[in-house]
Amino acid sequence: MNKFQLSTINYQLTLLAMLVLGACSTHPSLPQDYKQESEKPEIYPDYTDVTIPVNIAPLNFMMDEADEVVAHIQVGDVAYNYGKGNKVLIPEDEWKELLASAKGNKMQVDVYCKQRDKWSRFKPFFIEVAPDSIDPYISYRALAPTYVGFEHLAIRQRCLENFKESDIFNTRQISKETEGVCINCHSYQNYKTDNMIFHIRISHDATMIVSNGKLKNIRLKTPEMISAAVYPSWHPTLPLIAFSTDRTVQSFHTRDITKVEVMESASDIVFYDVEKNTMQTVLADSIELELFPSWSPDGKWLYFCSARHEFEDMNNGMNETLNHYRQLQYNLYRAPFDMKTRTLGEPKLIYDARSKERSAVEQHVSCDNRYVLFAEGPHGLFHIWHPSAQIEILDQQTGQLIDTKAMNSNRAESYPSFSSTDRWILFESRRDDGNYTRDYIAYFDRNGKVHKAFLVPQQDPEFFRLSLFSWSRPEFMIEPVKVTPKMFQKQAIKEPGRVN
Amino acid sequence: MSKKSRQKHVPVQAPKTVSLEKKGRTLGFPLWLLPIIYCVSFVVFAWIFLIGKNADTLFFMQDRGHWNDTMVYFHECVRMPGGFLSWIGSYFTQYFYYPAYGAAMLILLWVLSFCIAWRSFHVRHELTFLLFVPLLALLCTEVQLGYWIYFLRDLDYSFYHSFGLFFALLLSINYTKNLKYGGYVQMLLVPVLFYYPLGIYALLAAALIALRLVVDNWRKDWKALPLLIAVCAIVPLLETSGTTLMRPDQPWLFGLKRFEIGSVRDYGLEAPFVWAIASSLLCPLLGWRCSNRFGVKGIAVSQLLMLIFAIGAYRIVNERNCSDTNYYAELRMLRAVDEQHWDDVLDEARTAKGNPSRLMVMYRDIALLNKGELLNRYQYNNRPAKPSVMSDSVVVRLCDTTGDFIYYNFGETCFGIRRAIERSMHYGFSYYTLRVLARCALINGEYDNVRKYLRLLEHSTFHKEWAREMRPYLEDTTLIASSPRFGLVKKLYNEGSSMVGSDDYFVEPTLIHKLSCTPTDKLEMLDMALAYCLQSRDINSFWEQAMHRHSLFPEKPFHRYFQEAMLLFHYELKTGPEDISCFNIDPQIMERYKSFINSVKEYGQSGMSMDQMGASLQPSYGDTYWWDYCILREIKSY
Repeated sequence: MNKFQLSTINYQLTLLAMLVLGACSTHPSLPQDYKQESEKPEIYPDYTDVTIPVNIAPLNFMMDEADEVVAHIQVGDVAYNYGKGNKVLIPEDEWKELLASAKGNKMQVDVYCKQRDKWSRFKPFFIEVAPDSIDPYISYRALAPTYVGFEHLAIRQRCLENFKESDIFNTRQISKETEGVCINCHSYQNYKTDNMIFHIRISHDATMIVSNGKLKNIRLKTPEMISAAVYPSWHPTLPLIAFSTDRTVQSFHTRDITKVEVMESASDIVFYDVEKNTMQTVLADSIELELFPSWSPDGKWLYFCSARHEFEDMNNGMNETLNHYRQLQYNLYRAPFDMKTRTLGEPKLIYDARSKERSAVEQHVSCDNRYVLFAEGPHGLFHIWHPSAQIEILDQQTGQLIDTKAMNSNRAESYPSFSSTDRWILFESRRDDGNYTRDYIAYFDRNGKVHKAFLVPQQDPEFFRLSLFSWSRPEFMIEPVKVTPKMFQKQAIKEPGRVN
Repeated sequence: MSKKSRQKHVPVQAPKTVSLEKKGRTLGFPLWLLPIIYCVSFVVFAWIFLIGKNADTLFFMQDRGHWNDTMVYFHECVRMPGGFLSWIGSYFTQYFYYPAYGAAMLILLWVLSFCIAWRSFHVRHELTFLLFVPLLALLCTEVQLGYWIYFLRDLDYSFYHSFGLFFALLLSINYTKNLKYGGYVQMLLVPVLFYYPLGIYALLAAALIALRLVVDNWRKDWKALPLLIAVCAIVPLLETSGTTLMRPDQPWLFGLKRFEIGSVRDYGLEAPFVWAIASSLLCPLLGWRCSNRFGVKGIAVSQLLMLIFAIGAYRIVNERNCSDTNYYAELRMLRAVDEQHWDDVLDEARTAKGNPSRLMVMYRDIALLNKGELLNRYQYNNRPAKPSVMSDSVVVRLCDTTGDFIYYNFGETCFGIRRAIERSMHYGFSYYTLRVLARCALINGEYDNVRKYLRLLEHSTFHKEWAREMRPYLEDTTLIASSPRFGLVKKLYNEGSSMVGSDDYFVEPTLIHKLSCTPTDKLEMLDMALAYCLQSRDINSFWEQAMHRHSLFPEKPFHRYFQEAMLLFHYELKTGPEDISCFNIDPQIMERYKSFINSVKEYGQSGMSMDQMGASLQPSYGDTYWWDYCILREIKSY
């Protein structure tokens, strides 16, 4: 089986599409007679004035109301015209040529649009090509924007340098009509895939762990833990995974378009030693809800978020949580980690979101330990459902938040992460339509400035408009997953091991 | 095609006419007419069952389907084995938007399949009626669904298998008769090339080719059978080796329909699909020794068999046909509610045979609410029907059928969205779901979300018009509240209370409870809340809302049914304020109440059961809230 597996039919269709596209690939001429508009064009996805990596796939786009569109893309002496109906589809080889010419510079895009037999020319926009490349792969979870039910979902990987995409694992490989399967929380050590995990829930309940390329499935639950291991983070150098273990509660709004509240009535943090197959509880304060552990890239700090809540009646924690969900606001903490003894020091508050009536979660630390990227919303932990949730960056040197307006929108943003070089930020957003999660990328330059975010490009720019699946929990990877879906499937149906 | 070459495989043509010598007379009957007569009879038969009995089912089938003209959708379909069938199946399912149109296409497809089988396998005319066995099995699949229609995972259900059989027969035609080993080459190539687009039906085509070879020359071509087994074992395995879209045990039977929910699996509903495939394998055998003429006796026996076959076919299809009248009434009411034809909904409620299902009651109340006559519900039959079940044991719940749409109609759009999305997770997004989602999002003010759903509907064939009708509401959102289409729902949404909770999969009690507790100062909404207090029998909320209404609108008289409830709750149940004279209860209602209570006491003392008492009281008091409250105590929600 090849490393980056495509199903037979997809492969055939892709080839066919490429042949057809190649055969039809022409460079339309620019209209001579047009009306000059003073505005920039309204294109989808919005790629106007964005900064992109030098190794990204073509930024194909479309215009909604247009009968025809022609885009003239120019970088110095290199210039091409593209247009097919109301879409601009750019061949990969020519796009690479344009990117190479524009590295560290800008490409200018002139858009001509035909409506009711009349051509208009819009004010040109620019695409800045950063000299920094991006991690070539991302993985994400594809599922309908569901609340409780699940059936067809997959963890998929996508090459950002082109449009190749494949399943890492799909629930259809093991699920039966009468037994749903949920897969979640894919995570990698240091952006590489020799060490990775994801959970399988409901039937075949276990955690799939790839350790030094070897696959096993373990039921990560001990009697001391609140639940099976949940949100993971691989230590960058040790065979150690930090997990939260928690009791999750859900409730539904009748009018608020937030629609659902997800909350924890209890949570702790545990360490799982992959080699020794042992579990150790490290943070279990009864009035703290510790969540989302994540390691600093040097492995010397464990970052996490925590909400403080003193239950009046510990036996009625679920109901209390439901009644007080707005008061569950998380702050960011970090605790020193001794790699020799594998013990945590005293946690220290690094960001007090609660004092601002906000809740900070899903933190991710930059390679130089300076910046902490996180999602901030009004309360709780599932900010993708909170329209006011934003991505924030804390500069630990100054203790101040830096301006992230350029990458945020007026809709929910969540689950941010830095690329392996820190120069790119990947996050999920519902800015397109408010309900379907899409993955966005923003440039974070060496001066600590955030640039306008852009949607992960698709071969057909209309794809996200038509897709009824969300792309959630995006993760950068510097290589594709080497374990094939079939290997995962074979392992998943085996009886899982247990923690020693 | 030369005559010579044809004769190579079919040594003698089947006789086109036969002379029947009887008592010295010669009767000529053109036997070639028989297949045509069978075919016409089948068309009429299928039409009666599809359109005469199941037009509403067919319409609903397309509404629960989805097809769009984009490559994104095409790619989504063709990822699976049988993907092309899925795509073309969902394309043609759309035509049930006009049930007669879609049914005509389906029947035409069946007739074409019959013609191909007849000509391809050189079946003698008098036995061609047997070629209808797979087609009758497919007809059964169309009419047998009943409530399973809500639980179909295939948006292409109606046409998938019919096209599958059609293509299998088409591919099994002897195209390679002039080539040495042509049949073998064809048998190998068909599954290799067509397994992915046609799934299990490519394997069926290979099996038909193999059987034809064996039937034509058993001694020479028996090798085709082991070769067929090898091909059918290997090809699906190889072609699906890279896919992540199925379990490893699925490639060979992928596409065969399963009716499974929870721990229940209905093999009876699956049987026609197996029958359609298995019986089509008999087609090549029907051409065996075609050259041998039947004598008079042979023809008579074959026609007798045909008669028995026709009677059996009728009985089986009729037995399969869903006979639950509430099921059909619900489909008609759903469509009428969707199109806001309130009078049609109420006509259906009035003319319903037997007691109404909870879904029918909900549709009827939506219609009454929209006509401003919610309290007239006591003039209809409110006796509960037995729960709707499928496969004899699985109780059908509102949240799994049209809970999303019901929530929408009561302004509970967030719950509506939740139910629609949850359903779609299991059974796919359909036009129905997209419309519900678009409407809910419109009421919620999530306009970009509405655009998304409208865009998808605009890519369909028949629902684009509906999507275009929605566009003005996005261009001018002030139209939403003022339009007859959305006005009431928007009002209910605006007046609804903002809460956090769950419906625990019970739509009706959730709505009744929430509506009865609506905190409002508006007369119209207060009356609605009171009406739902009557339904929920929440006496405390009733008095609370009644006092609130009285304090705000002391001069506005209470509706007759509220007055009836006040009397019952106050005098009989000893609740509410000490003095209810402030509510200005109509003396006639008071008199009637006294008479009702006297009758109840009298019947009670005579030892009548509750049912007997209900029947005795109904002529005089069946239109009152008292009768409803006292007699209909066992109404369960599902």
